[in-house]
Amino acid sequence: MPVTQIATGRAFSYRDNIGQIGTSATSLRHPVGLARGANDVLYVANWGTESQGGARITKCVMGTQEWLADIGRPGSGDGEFLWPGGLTTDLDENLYLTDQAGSKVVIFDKEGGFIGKWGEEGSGPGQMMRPSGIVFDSEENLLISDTRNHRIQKFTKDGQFLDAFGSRGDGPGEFDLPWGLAVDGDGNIYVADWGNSRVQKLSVSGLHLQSFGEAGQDQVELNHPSDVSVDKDGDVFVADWANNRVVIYQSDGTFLVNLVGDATNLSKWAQAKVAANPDLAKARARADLEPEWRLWHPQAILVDDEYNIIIAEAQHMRVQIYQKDPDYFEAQFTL
Amino acid sequence: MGNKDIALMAHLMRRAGFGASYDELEARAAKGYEATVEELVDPDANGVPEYDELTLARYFPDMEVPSAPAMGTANFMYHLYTTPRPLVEKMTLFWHMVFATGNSKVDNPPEMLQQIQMFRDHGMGNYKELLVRLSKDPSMIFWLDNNENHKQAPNENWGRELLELFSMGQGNYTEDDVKMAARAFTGWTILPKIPRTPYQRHHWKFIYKAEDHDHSEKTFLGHTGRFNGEDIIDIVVEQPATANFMARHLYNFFVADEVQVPSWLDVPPKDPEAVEAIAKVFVESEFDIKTTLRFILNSDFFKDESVWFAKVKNPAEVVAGTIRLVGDFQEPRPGVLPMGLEGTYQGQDLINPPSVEGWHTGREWIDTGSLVRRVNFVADSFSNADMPGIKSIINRLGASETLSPEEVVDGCLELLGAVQINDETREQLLTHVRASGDLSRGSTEEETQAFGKRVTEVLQLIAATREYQFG
Amino acid sequence: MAKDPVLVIFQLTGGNDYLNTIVPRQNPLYRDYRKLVVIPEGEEVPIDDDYGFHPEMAPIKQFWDEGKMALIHGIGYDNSPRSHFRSMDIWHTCEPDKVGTEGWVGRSIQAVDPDKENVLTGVNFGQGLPRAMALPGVPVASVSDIENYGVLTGITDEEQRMRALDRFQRIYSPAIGRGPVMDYLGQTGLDALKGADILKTAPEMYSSSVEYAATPIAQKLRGISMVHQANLGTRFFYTQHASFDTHASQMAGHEQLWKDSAAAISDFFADLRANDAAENVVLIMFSEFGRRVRDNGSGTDHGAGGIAFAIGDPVAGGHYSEYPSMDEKDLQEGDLAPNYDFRGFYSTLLEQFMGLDPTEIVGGTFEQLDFIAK
Repeated sequence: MPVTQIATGRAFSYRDNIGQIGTSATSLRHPVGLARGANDVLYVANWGTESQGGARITKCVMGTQEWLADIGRPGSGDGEFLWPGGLTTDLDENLYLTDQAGSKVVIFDKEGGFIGKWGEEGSGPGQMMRPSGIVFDSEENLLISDTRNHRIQKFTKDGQFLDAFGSRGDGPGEFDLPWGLAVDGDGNIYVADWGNSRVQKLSVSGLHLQSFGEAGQDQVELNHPSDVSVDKDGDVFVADWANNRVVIYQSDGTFLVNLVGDATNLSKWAQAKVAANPDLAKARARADLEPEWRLWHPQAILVDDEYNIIIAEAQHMRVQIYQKDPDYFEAQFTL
Repeated sequence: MGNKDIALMAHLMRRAGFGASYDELEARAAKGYEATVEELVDPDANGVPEYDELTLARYFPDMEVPSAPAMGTANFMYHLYTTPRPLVEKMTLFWHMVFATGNSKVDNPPEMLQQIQMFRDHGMGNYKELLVRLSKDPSMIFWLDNNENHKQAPNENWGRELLELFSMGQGNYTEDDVKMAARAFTGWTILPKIPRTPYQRHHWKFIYKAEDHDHSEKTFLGHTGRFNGEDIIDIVVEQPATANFMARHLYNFFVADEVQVPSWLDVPPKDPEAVEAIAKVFVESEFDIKTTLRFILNSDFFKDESVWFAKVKNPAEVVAGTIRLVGDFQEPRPGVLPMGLEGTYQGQDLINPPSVEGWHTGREWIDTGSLVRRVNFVADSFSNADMPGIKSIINRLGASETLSPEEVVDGCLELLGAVQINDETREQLLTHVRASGDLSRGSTEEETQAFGKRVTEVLQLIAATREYQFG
Repeated sequence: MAKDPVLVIFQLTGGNDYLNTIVPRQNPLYRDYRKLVVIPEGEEVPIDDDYGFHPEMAPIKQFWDEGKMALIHGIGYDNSPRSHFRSMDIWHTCEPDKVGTEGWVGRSIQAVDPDKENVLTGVNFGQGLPRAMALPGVPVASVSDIENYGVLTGITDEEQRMRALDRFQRIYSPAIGRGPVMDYLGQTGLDALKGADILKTAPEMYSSSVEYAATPIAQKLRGISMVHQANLGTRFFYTQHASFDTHASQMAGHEQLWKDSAAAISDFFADLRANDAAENVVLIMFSEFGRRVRDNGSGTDHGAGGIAFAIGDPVAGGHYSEYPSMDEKDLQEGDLAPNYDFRGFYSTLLEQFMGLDPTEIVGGTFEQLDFIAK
C-alpha cells in the first residue's frame, strides 16, 4: 500500500526500497553516499564495518534491483577507502568519493576502474580534515565539505585548489562540522550545517543567502542534518539525520512535508533471504515491524531529474525511494 | 616534582576514572580535591558535558549499532577512553561487573549497549530505581530467562540472582524467598523481537503481561501480600544485608581488592568499619548512589596512602587508562576495534562477562597470557613518541638540559601519575639507565630523537613492572 | 616407552555447513533442498557410495583411504540455540543448560598436570584464550605468532630488547614477602618469561622439508608442529579457522575455507610423519553447529546437527553415529536433528586416547564411540 503525502500541489509517494544487511554483494552495509548514472543506474557508497570490511560502492539498477558491480574496497591503497564521506559523478559518469579517513578524493570510472586520487591532510588552503560532502558546481568544479576545518573548499576536478569559504561558528556563512552539499540550477550552494542543525544556502561565490530550519524536533525543524538535495523545481530536501526523517521545504523556506520512512515491503534482495528461512517469516509475523519501516539515520539524499527521491539509511542497510509528483491535482470527484 | 596533592589526585583519578595526564592532574589539583570530587560525582551540576553520542554515530556507524560483538565491545571501551565524565563511565563499568549480563547468550550487541546506556544514564541515581530498571531491562530479562517465568511455570533464575548477586548476597534468604521473588516477577517479559535480518537489529521492548502474572498472595522475607516485582525490590533494599553487600562491592571496586564475591559469606571484609560506614550512608541517603560515592571519595579510608595501588587494575582500566594517558583518539579515527579486543585478550571481554557472577577480579586478572598482553600493550603504546601524552612527558623532562638517571626514572614515574614502586624495582630501573649514562636533550633533531627514545625506553620498563599492574 | 598422546583441536568457527562438507550424494532430498548452494553432481570427492567430501577436501581424503579418519555424524546437543556465541560456549564448557565458565580443555590440562609442572601443557595458537582452555590457576600459553612471541616484543632493536628482558627478569625475580599478590605476580612474570624462552627454542630446533602455505591456518598448524616436535611436553593444542558463517556467497567462501584447511592439515601430517612425530597425535575438527538444510539463495543460515572429524594414526577410520535424516518430518525447525552428544565425542578422546577419566571433565557419562584404534 503506497503511502502518499500531499502538500501545495505536490505529492510524495513511497515507491520501493533496495538493500538488506549482510556481507554478500546483494547487500548494503551502512550506506552513506548516493549518485545516479544513466540507464537507471544507482551508485551507493557503503561504510562497511571495521570488523568485517565491506567499504565499497555498490552499483545496481534502481528499478529491477539488479546488482551490477562492487567498486573499490576497504584500505588506504589505490582504489581503496575506509570512511566514505560523500559521492558524486561528473558528466562522464566518473565517480568522485571523499575518503574521510585518508582526507582524500578517490576517483573511479563507471565500470569500477580506479582513475586516481588526490588530497592532503591538514588545515592549510587546499588541505582537508575528514572531507565529507562532495558535489560538482555549474562549472564542473568540485565543492567539498572540509568538515573538521569547518569550511567549504572548491577544487578543479583533478584537485587544484581554487577557493575556500566559511569558518567555525554559528553565524551566517559560518559552519560547524558541515556535511552534505548540493547545488541548484542557478549555481547556488546548499550546505548541511550539521553541528548548527540548519541548511545554509550560499551564492556561487560563497555569500550567505538564506537558512533553512533551526535546531529542534518540530516538523519544520532540523536535528543535525547530514545531507541536502535540490530538485529542478527548487524544492529543498534535507536528510534530517538525528530526527530520523526527511524535511522538504519550498525554495523560499516554506515547509512542505516530512517523510519518515514507509518501507513496509521487502526489497528484492531481502525477499530471497526471508523466503529461504521459514522461521524468519514466522518471527516477522509475530513482531511489530513498524520500527523497521521507518528511516534510521537517513544519511544521504538525492533527488534526480525524474523526481526520484533516494534516501540512504545508514542504519537500515538500504535505500528508500519516493517519487515526487510535481503537478498533483486533487480531483474533486463525487463518489 | 613529587607533590603530595598531585599524588592524591592521581589516586582519585585512577579510582574514580581511568587515570589522567599530568597536565590534567595539575589542573585538577589546582582546583582542589573536594571540588574535583564534586565535578566527578555531579557533572551535570558542574557543567561537564556528556560524551557527544552524535559524533560516535557519525564517525562510527558500525559501532553505534554493531552487528559483530567485538564492535559492541569496542563501543563500551571507546566511551571509557573518551568520556569527559570519567566517574559516570566508571560506575557504568561497576554496574556491568555487578549486574553481569553476557552477549554470549543475549546475542545482540546493540541491545547489550542499551543496558550499558541505562547504567550510564541511571547508574549514579538511586539504587532502588536502578533495580527496577534492571528488572525491566530486555537484555537482563533474556539473560536470566525471565521471559520464561510464567504464572503457570515459574522460572527462578532472575529471582535467585536478584537476591544472591544483585542485592543481599548469599545466606540472607531462604529457598522459599527465591520462589516467591520469582513468582512476583512473572509476567515481566519482552515483546516478540524483530528479527535481525533482513535489515538490522532493533531494540527489544519490555512488557508487563498482567495475564501471565501470578497475582496470588506471597510471603517474602517475612512480609505477606499480593506482591509484584516492585514490592519485592522495596522489601529487598530495606534489608541490612543489601546495604552491607553493596557497600562491600563499592569498597572492593573503589578502595581495595577484596576476596572473590562467593567468599564474602565466610571471609569478613578487609576494613569492616569502612564497609559499615559506606552502608550507613547508603541507607541514610535512601540508596542515593551519588551521596554514597561522594562519601567514599572524601573519606580518610579512601585517601589513605595504604590503599593507593592496592588494586590490580582490571583490563578495561589498563586499556582505557593507557589510551587516555598517551592522548590517543582525541579526534575520531579508524582503529577502535583493536582497542576493544585488547581488553578481551587481556581477559575482560566487555559486554560479555563469563557468567552472571561477573569477572573474578584482583589477582585473578593475572595469568601468564594476560600479563604478557598487559605489559606489551602498555609498553607499545608508550613507545610512540608522536602521541601527545608521550610527547608532553618528553618535553617536560627535556626542560632541563641534562638529567641524571635518578631524575629520569623519578621524573617518568611522576609524569605517569605519581606511580609508586618498590625500592628494589627503582634500583633496577636506575641500573638500567646508568648503563648509558646521563641524558642530554641535545639541540639537533637527532639528539632530541635519541633523548626521546631513551625516555620512552624508561616508560616501557616502568610499564613492565609488577607495580604498574596496580592502580 | 610410548609417547604421550597429544590432542590437536581445530575449531571451524562460525558453523560449518555439514551438507556440503560430507555430501549425501545419493539422497535426492539434498538437491531438492539445495538449489544454489550445492556441490554439483559428480564434483564431490567420493567417500563411498553414499557420501562424498567437498571437492576442496581432496588433499585429506588420503586419511580416509588409510583408515585414519573418523567421521562423527549428526553431532551436537538437544535444543540448539543457533547462536554462535552460546553454541560455542556450550561446546567449550560442556554446559548446555547454564552459562559455564570453565573450559573442558582447561580441566583436562589440570587432570594431566595437576601440579602445574609444565607451563606449556596447553598451548593455544591464536589471539586471546578460547573459553575451552580457561580455568583459573591453569597456565596456558596463547601464541599468535611463534616467531615473535614473548614479553616486550614491541621493542624492535634486538640488543635493546635483550637488555630490557634481562631487566624484566630481575624486576620480577627476588623479593619474597612483598605480599601474596606481588609474589604471585612475580611468579607469573617469570612463568611467562620461561614459557616464552622455552617456546623460542621450538622454531630454532625445527626443520622440515614441508612447505606450508602462507595462509593463517597453515601457519598456525606449522607453529603447532614446531612446538610438538620440540618435545616441550604440550599435550593439548588449540587453534581455529574462521569464518565458516556462510550466510552469503557460500559457494566461493566455503570452497576457500576448505581449500586452506585441507591443505594445512595435509601438510601438517606430512610434516609430522616425515619427522616421526605423528604416531601419538590426533587432530579433531568441530564446529558450533551445522547449517540450515534449505539454502537461502546464496548461503545458508544457522542450523543444528553437524559433523566432527578425528584424524591421525591412532584413529580407527570410518563412519560413526549416523547421518541425520533429511526427511521434512525429521528436521528440527528446518535443521538436521543432532543424534549424537558432543560430550560423548570428548569422552571417547579423553578416556580412550588421553587416558583420563572424562566424567568430571565433561560433566557426566555419555555414549562413547570406537574411533580410537585399540
